[in-house]
Amino acid sequence: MTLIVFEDEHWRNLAVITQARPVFELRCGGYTVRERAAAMTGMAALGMARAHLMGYYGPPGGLAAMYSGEPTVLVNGRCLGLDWLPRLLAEPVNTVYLADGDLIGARLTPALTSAVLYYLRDQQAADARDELARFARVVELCGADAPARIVYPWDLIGQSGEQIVRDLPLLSARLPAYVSNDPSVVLRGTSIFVGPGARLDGPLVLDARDGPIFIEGGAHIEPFSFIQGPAYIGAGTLIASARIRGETSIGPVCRIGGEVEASIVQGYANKHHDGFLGHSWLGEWVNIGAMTTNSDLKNNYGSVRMALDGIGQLDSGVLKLGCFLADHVKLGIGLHLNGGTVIGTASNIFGVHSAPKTVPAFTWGGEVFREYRIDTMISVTRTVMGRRKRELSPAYEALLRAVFDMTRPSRGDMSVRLQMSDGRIRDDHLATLGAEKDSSLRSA
Amino acid sequence: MRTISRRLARIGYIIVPLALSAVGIATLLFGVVSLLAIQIAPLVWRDALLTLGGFAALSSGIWQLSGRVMQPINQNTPSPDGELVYGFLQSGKPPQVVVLSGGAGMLVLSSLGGHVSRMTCIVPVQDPVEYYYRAAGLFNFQNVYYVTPAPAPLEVVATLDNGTVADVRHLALNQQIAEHHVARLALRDPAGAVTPLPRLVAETIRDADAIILGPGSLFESVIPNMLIDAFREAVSTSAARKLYICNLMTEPGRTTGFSVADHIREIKRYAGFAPDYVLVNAQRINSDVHRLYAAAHQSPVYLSPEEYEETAVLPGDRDGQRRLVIEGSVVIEADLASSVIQYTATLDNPDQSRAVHVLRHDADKLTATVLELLRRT
Repeated sequence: MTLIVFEDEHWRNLAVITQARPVFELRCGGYTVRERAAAMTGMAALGMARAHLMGYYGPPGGLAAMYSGEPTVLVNGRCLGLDWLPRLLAEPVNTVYLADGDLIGARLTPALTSAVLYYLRDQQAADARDELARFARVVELCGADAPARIVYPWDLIGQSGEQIVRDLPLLSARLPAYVSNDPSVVLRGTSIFVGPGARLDGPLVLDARDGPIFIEGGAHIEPFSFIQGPAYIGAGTLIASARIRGETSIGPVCRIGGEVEASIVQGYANKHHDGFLGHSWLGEWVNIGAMTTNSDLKNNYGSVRMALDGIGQLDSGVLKLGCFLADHVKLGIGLHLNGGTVIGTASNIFGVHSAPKTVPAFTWGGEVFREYRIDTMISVTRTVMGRRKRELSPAYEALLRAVFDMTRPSRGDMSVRLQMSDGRIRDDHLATLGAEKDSSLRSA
Repeated sequence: MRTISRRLARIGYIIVPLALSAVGIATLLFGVVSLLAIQIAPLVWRDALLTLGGFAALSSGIWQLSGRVMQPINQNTPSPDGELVYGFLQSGKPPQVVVLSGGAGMLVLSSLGGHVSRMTCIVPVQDPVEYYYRAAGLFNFQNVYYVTPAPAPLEVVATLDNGTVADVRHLALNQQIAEHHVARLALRDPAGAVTPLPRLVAETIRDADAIILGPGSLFESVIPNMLIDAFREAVSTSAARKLYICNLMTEPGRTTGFSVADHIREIKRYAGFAPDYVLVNAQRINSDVHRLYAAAHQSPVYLSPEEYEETAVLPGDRDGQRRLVIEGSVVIEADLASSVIQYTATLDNPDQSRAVHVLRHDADKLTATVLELLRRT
């Protein structure tokens, strides 16, 4: 069997946080969709994403790796709940699962796969669905059977807690229930699972009365931490005397301090110091300076609006929503972020009291913004990743450069030519904060 | 100004040889003039006149060159061969190509994928598509998409001229029938003929600039898909140019004794159309290789004079060169093959392999010829 996780047309709704990662690589709960599909089936899940992501996130063999003599199983990368997957695996070949018109999954012969993989390669899942409906048996997943799917970025936050609970069977099968005689580790509730090698230094409180707590092996919980379930702490992550409130998922190798509530930290991110992070999503390799804080509730208790790249301002319909910081975003110390703030890939914001609500990818500055030069960004990234014993592969560098090129229009007219003191003309990129705001308003 | 700079920018490809030539001509002229000490005017006037005249001639030449050499080639632009390479590179969007073939033949043509905007290979209806992807992954083919003409493989059976009925995939393995050829090809399940066509296949055929049949076994790779009604209909109604790459040698048990015309007639019989163009190998093989093939009941498929029906002139052919037309197809002879050494072993003695000279379609020659034909027509 070949297991393929694909992106569909809705990736555009998630464009800001998926500039440099496929939809199926977004963490929600204990896993990303790809990890969850792999964990449920016990086999590697191959990713089918936009062309610029395939070099890093796709299989090394390209399409060739997606064909074997065995049936192919397709899984929609927006599906958080995969309870239906074991049922699909037991279905006769050439069976398609749909929910509310979305192609959820399919089990196909290689021949029929070849007729639709072309569409999925271009994220045209509706075309693939229509084609499969002609040749395959269609099963509609209705009501409670219809899986939870990500449609907008705030769905990740809204589903975070429930997804941690849904991951209970998978995670509890892998992580042993925590048993300890250490009186300095205060346990409330019973659904606490801690992987081997995790270090819990009391005094600390693990409160699982509202939901399970999962702590992966290699994680380190420092004294005076408070973790409230449902919560997931990834492998190698340091909880530095932090208050982790419920519905929080933290990926591997993060450093988390201060107060975090109902948020998702993808992995390899630093929020080591004090400051509040609530109902927010952080990409990989994000760094947040000390005392930087986000708002997740408007003073008028209205629903939070958010600007989506290529779509414009949308009313999220939720009262509590924080910020979305794409991969490699770096924030300086003491910044304040409004609810619904969206900062694009690799932007570096510092030196201001309040960050703009919408910042394009590869933006550098505070009072004055300019384009973050890609060569500098790559150099910094190499250093940052090296500190966590990760190498910046040529494929990942190519991906970042592709994102830089693709997002150039969103930076608008930041580019001006500066005349230097010696008379030489230097290509540089400068824009005032006001100009950037105007640009974001125009795009909205 | 923009128009001028854009047009002059076209000659960027040949600026170095052009500049060298100009310097050479100027130096040569100066030498001749000095050598002959031509006194057509006082020295200053003579030099000024020569400089101005040379500059004007050079500017005019470059301007005209930028307009002719780099123009997109189309049917209205007669172009000598020297201009064609640049003409093809500059001709904008390369074509979308559909290849109907199978087996090693399809893999030979896969290098074409790097030269066209989209290449879709429709594999024979009886073949598993995953085999092609595995091979493509092995050879790292770029921009090639393989798709099946039906949602599930269909079995194809051949009836030979001696009445033998066999699965078309097994004909090559049966030495007992080597002297015979296929008299009739059909789907084992006749209901398979009404299999609906996948939308991807239908759209690809509809939008293609060219449909290439072959290279590959006529009855095992090219014709089987034509047994599906919708497929045959889609191909025959497509506005794409249809190009058939004829086999180099006859195939024992399949096309024994077939001529070029026989190959074309079989396509016409099953597909309902004759290809617009047929590429036939012109390279003659040496007698040693010939004898090896003859022992296996195989003979080269050459264009023979008796197949002459009428002639046509291909667009771009110089000196009014005439091509043969057979069954309505323009037949073009070209060097398409190379002799290669192949190591073979038998099932009885798998450890004992022997080297034999065999004739194979040459991927580079074939790609160049196909591209040239697509550009010209």
